Amino acid sequence: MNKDFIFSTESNPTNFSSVKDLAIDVLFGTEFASPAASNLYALGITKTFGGSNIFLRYSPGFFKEFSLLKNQSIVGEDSSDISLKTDLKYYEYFSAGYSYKLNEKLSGGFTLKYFNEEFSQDAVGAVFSDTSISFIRETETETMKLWNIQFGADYLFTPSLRLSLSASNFINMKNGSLSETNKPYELRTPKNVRFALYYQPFQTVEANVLYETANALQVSIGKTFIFDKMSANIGCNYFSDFLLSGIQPSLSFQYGNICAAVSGVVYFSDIQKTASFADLTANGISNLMHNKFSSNKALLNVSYRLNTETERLVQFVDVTISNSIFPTFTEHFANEPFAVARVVNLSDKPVSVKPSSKIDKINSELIYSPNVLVQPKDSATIPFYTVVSEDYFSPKHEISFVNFYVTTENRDADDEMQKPLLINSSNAWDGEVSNLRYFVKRDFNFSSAMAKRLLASHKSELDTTNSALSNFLQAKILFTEIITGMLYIADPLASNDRVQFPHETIDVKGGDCDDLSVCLASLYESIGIETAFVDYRGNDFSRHVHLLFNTNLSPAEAGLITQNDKKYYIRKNSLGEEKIWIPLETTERSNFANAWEKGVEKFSSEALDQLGLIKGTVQIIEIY
Amino acid sequence: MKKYFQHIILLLFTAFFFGCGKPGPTELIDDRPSEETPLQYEVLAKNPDDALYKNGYDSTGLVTPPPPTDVFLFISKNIVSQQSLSITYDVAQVFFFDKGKPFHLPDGKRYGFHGKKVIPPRINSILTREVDYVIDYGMPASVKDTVLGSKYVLSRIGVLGDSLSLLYNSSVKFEYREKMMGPNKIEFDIAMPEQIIGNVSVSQNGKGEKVLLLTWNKASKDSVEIIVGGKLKNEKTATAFFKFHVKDNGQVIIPRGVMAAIPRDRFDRLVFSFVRKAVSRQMKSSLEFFTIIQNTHSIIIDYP
Repeated sequence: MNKDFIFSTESNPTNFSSVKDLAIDVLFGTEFASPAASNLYALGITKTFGGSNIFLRYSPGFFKEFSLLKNQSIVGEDSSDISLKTDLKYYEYFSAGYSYKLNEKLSGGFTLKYFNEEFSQDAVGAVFSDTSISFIRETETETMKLWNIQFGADYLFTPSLRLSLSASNFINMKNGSLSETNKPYELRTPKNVRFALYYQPFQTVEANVLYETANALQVSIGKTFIFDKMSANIGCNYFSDFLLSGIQPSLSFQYGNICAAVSGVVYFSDIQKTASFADLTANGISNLMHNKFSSNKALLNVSYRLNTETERLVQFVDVTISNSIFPTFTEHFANEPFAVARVVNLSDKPVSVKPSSKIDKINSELIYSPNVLVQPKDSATIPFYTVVSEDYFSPKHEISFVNFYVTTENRDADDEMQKPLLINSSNAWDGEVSNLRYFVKRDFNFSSAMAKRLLASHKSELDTTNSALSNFLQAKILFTEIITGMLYIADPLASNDRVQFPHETIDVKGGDCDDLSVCLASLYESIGIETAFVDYRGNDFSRHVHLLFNTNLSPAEAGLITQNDKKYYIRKNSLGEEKIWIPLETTERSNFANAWEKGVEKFSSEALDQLGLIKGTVQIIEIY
Repeated sequence: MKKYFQHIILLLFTAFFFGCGKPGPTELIDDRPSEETPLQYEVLAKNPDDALYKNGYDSTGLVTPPPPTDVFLFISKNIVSQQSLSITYDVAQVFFFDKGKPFHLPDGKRYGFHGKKVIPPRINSILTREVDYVIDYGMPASVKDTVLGSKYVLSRIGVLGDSLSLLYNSSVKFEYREKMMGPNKIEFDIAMPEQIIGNVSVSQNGKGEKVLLLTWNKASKDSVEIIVGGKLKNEKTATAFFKFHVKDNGQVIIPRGVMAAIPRDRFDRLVFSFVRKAVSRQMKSSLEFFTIIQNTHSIIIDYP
């Protein structure tokens, strides 16, 4: 029942196989006769070569023996009775199967079974010598070898619906002859056509129906439970040939390459320790393992799959690049996927997929994204993340390519795909004010050195000022030294989303609102002054940004910088302490006081009076 | 997890592997409606030249040794056929054994007991004759005969002999007085079994080999006996070789191996005796009576 087992000659005359490479099975059985006995039933191996599959089985446990103690005896010299007996032995030593997959839907195949039948009859002979007469027991044995061929075809309407049609006993080859005495015991081989339908209504449920024209019916149902690294299957099979019926419950587990199943065969008729010889003579047997003389059984099947070739478990359906790469946003793509892939699980077990990618010129090694579990035969969307080295710098856009990989339990990737990718220039910006922080951070070393040098020239002023005003005074000095006197230079028309790094702004002595805000924020942050961008979004899609900075003054100390309580805003820091923040319009380059004044006007008007902060047209974005 | 999985598999594997062993064969009950072979094969004459098996075998079916009892009553109604000729032969023999006088053969085996002299019993109201109870034993070169006391007989061959008349489907009356005077007369009736009429023909077995097919009129008895003997060339008497117990179903095939073994150069004729008999054992007064009443049909044929 479990499709991971290969002992399928009885129920699979077409040798239909799901084994992708090589599988080895061992089958043990216990027959609950009296006394119970267990033995090795069969050893099997199957190998797939391209579209062909070959199956070989040695089955020392597939046999049936009968012993008849005749109502005949010889009276011995001591008047004891020596009984005569008849032994009937049937063995199926070997079987083999071959199938060929013509296309994805149709396959055909056959199985070949080798039987040996041995019938031994005790007979009485007499010996006359010159001085004595005696009876002797003579055993006469006849054997018959039988090659039985079954053939048929399988058609997959869908991956979950398969029809199997096969014929058996139309071709039999015999070697040997039997006397009239033993002919009634010969293995019966009635011509038979078999129809079987295998259906999986759900991913983990399977139901099979089988009908034979020789009046046999089989119905089975199974349910698979999938866990993280293993799966379990529970099923039950009802069979009836209208004379003998029973059920075969089964429980199987699969872990990695190993699959084990325990099943039982329970007949509804009573088990007979002895059986009717007249019945056997009249009806014979046609199946060694399942006949009206069979006893209840327990079976253990252990299967091992050996893959000498890497089996592809998953495969890309497609990969979509969702974002071009902004190289300055170094950590941005560690949280925001730059691409998503659709991946399908080709196997019949759950697979943990490990995605990875490598962008040419950006990544020096594979960047791994989080693992995703994909259910058997199911597909899943897998996001790809990346990081950009801070050392990367390119003044212009360029086209690169990215290699995507999906890896499972195999050492090598199961599938890979290459896609072109746009890498923007290092100054490129996507228009999101929150991403300006990457430009602030990029020139930290430069900004720190510049700020310290400038402040050093105002040492005496800073030393003599109230320490509470330290942040305010440093901010004022840096603004005066850097921003005052700069030019307002708009971005080139062709590249609206371009941001200068602070050192570039200082070098060219000018920039637009985002350039100047980034530059000033970088200088302030480099000396420990907290800053935030104020993002203004106009109805006409116009954008503007200016700066807020933390004076580190408490509301009670606000009087140290202004008596006008509308010129500052109180915000709580991470410790919950209220601090005075003041806005600076960085495009107002005349002096610090005017920049402050302009910042207050714009912020009060748009963020507060026009309820911009509530409507969302104005946002305050922390740099850290 | 993988280790647990492997351990469970290993445990199950071991349990199955060392479980027990190969299952034994299914025992079949021999319930075939007709038996065409004998149920039991018994050698009577362990040596065909042994005189012991000749003197007691004269187509009556009486073979030695006699049963160890106080009184052995043997009544036999016989037909002997050879080709198209048949004769009838009725015999009744009564042995009163003296259990204090056993008789042993030279090989040390006890043969039986000496016969006592008593007041002659009556069979069907006919007084029996007292004769010597003689047996021959030994090989042709050293045949010995000996008298083991007396026995009481009535016999009739065709129309000759005593006025004994045994009838099928009737009973035989036995009377005996231990003492001439007095009331202690022992008498009882013994039912005669149905007549048996046999036939011997040649047939083929399942392998196409020639075998002897013996048929007879089947009756209500469980079994009949068939005694096979042979006549040694240049001898008048026959030697009984085998006794077959067969179902009383009217037909039996004698296995080819049995008949083929009878050496043609020593025996030129074979004798098949079909015996349908009733055996009983009963106590009368202080005596144990062992009774065999039978009818037989013996067929003498040339070696086929």
